[in-house]
Amino acid sequence: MKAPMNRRVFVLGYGAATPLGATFDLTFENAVAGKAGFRRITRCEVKTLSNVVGEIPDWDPVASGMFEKKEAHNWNAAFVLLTVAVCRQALAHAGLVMEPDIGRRTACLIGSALNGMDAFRIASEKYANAGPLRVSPYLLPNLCGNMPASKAGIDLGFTGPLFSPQGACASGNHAIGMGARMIRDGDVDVVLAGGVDTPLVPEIIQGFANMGATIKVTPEDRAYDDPGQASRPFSCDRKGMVLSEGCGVLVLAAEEVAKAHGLKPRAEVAGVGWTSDAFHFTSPNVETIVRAMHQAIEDAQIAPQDIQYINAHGTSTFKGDLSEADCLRQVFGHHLGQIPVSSNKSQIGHTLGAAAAIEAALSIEAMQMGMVLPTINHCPTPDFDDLDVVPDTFRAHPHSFLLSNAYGFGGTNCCIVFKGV
Amino acid sequence: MGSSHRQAVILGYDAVCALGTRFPDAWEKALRGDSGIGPLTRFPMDDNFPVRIAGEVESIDDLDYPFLKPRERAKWTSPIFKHAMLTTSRAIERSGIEITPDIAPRTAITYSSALGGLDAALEADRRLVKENRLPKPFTNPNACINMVGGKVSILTGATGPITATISACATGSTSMIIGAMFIEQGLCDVAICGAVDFALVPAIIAGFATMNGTFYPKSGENVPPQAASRPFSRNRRGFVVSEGAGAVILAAREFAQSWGLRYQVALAGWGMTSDAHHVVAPHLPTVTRCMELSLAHAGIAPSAVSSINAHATSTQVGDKVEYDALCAVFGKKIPPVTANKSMMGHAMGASSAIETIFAVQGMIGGKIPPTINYDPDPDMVFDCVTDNARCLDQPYVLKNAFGFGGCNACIVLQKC
Repeated sequence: MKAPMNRRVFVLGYGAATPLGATFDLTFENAVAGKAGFRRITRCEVKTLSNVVGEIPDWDPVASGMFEKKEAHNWNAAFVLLTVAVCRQALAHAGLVMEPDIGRRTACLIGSALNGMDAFRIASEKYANAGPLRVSPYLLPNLCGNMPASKAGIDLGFTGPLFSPQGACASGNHAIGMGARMIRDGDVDVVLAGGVDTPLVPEIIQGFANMGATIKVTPEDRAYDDPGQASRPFSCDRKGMVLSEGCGVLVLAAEEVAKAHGLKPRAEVAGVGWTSDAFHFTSPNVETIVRAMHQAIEDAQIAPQDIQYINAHGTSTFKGDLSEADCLRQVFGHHLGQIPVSSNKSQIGHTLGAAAAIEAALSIEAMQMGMVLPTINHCPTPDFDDLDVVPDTFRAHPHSFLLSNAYGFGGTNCCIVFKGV
Repeated sequence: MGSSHRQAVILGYDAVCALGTRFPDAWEKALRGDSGIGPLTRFPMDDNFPVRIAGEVESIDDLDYPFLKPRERAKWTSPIFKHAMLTTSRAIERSGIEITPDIAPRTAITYSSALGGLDAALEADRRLVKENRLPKPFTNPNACINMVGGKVSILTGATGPITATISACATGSTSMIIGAMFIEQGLCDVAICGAVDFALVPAIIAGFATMNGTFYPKSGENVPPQAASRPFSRNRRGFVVSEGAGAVILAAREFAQSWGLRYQVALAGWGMTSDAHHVVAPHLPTVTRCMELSLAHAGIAPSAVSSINAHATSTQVGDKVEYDALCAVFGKKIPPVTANKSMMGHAMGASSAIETIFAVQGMIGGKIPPTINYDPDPDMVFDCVTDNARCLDQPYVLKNAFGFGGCNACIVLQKC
């Protein structure tokens, strides 16, 4: 066995594609402006009132100039090329050039909750209507959860460890947590850590609607005429999440790599907390969520009151938000009122496996600018009157420790503490 | 060598595969050189369906476990869940560990799957398209790959870190590597690892066929199913898709010792690389580096390796690249090699978990099961264990696994 190295891990850059924009910069700009990225679905037809979703505007792999038409045809699971584009963005943002020497010490961990379900749908259709010999030879590659990272590796040239860490809606934090530990202990020097999901296909939308997880926008709902108001975490009338597509990737690196390449760190990964519920496949479990937050804070060698901003999981479901607030009360006690807590899902919706990575990137960018992003569409309720949810508009708020929470179906909780640099 | 008290040791394991649903029986069959490959019967097919054979797992529904009750099976329609839970239950029983409230928070779960519950998604798709009926409420949970670990967590009460790390056909090995890494990093003391895949779904099998991955007989040739999977043979003609699941319970050596739990094999080293080369074709330099990294991590020279449990799926290119990489690492002295897929077919992500279990069983009993259907390829000269099981003491075994998209994972097992 190799000796542990205990290295510091920095975030050097990030990329994202979200309903607020096909790049991180556009996403951040629109988030600061307090905008929402929701509209009635255009990707497919659905027969449900859960028809308000978050679609990435103007995302077209061929028009982006990054991919040939043939490539876009073969990779018909949308999460593959989307990930390649966002990895490229993240490396450029970090200023890191993928030389072979650094490539072999670079891992790529891109999680997902639902993977290439869209390709499977196309293949099933082909199978039923044109016969088995018309099923695409690219079906299996499209379906494999690791293929977004694999295709990014083929296009961008890294050859270290590569797999897809899957933890449903916490996948992005799984990637960041695992990647940070691998760098700390010397397994690799650089990690592209992130998540991706493109779940806007009829079965998945209907499936979430039937579970009662997504908002049904009835004619009397305030989002009926203004879809932008559909996601309202911590509000009196929250009625479920808004399903979105998106991808987020962070570039993590060991301190000495950043120094050797003259790259500017944007934050440090200070602590990781990670638990499973052993409880229920969708309902959250307070005890294990509280433990995940405590672990992350202890791992960062700070106390709960040192956390100055909390990026909530905040999906806008009635019970989920209540239970998250309970957990926050248990961890932060009477300090909670002094700590701004906001949910980017009010603007982006729930990008499932991508959410945690996108939210980490947004939080870090905001921390660098001495501000916190808002929870928009806010309508107060006594349930959360002890929480400062940063309603509707961003706020100047210098801070140097933030906690980013993510919880997933199947009972997985992963919390990360980032430290300003 | 660093400190070995955080080294992951294997406390228990269990597998179901095409050779049987009771591991001791499957192991006996493997030593005899039986084949588990037969006709593909999972779904009705037309005459033009390109694949006719598979490695199907026999039914476990008559076993007396709570998760096999009809109500549970009706909710969790994908077979991945019940097989993950069965192998986990038995592996924990065999390990002698009790996941008490004290141990539960220190127990991680990395049980995974390469393809997950796609059968549930397919069913929902067909219901919606053909019958205009809404998906069942459990469709999305069935289709979420990490739900396998979620069910294992609920079954065992384990509440440590949980994840499902997917690397296509290397998923089982990656699961064990991540479990061992969590232990080494101090995130947990125990890890429930493994992988399950039941991929005999029409569109998937058709996809494997159109990508020329699956076995296709020479025109006019009538091959018995048992003779189709022929790793390293001159007439190898693609892999046979099979079903299976394997669970492995890992623990930190110091934990096993302080709880008086028996172990005979440790994960001494591992390596992971990616190809950055081609969607499905393997790449010699990165496959070679993966094996080298695992040996370096274990702190041993290639000459210390006693046998190799190959990935060898029975494809032309795949087996050749693995052989070339073995030559690059071991020179002219390649240790005895065996390919379990000759008997059980390719159980996708589960294969490397099941084959690791076979390798471990072989280390404990001093035996190596044969590579059946072997007809030497003049381009690949090495000591392939064939015809009969071989008796051999094996202090170190190298287990290879390579996945689509160029995900490579190699593990060095050490007899304690």
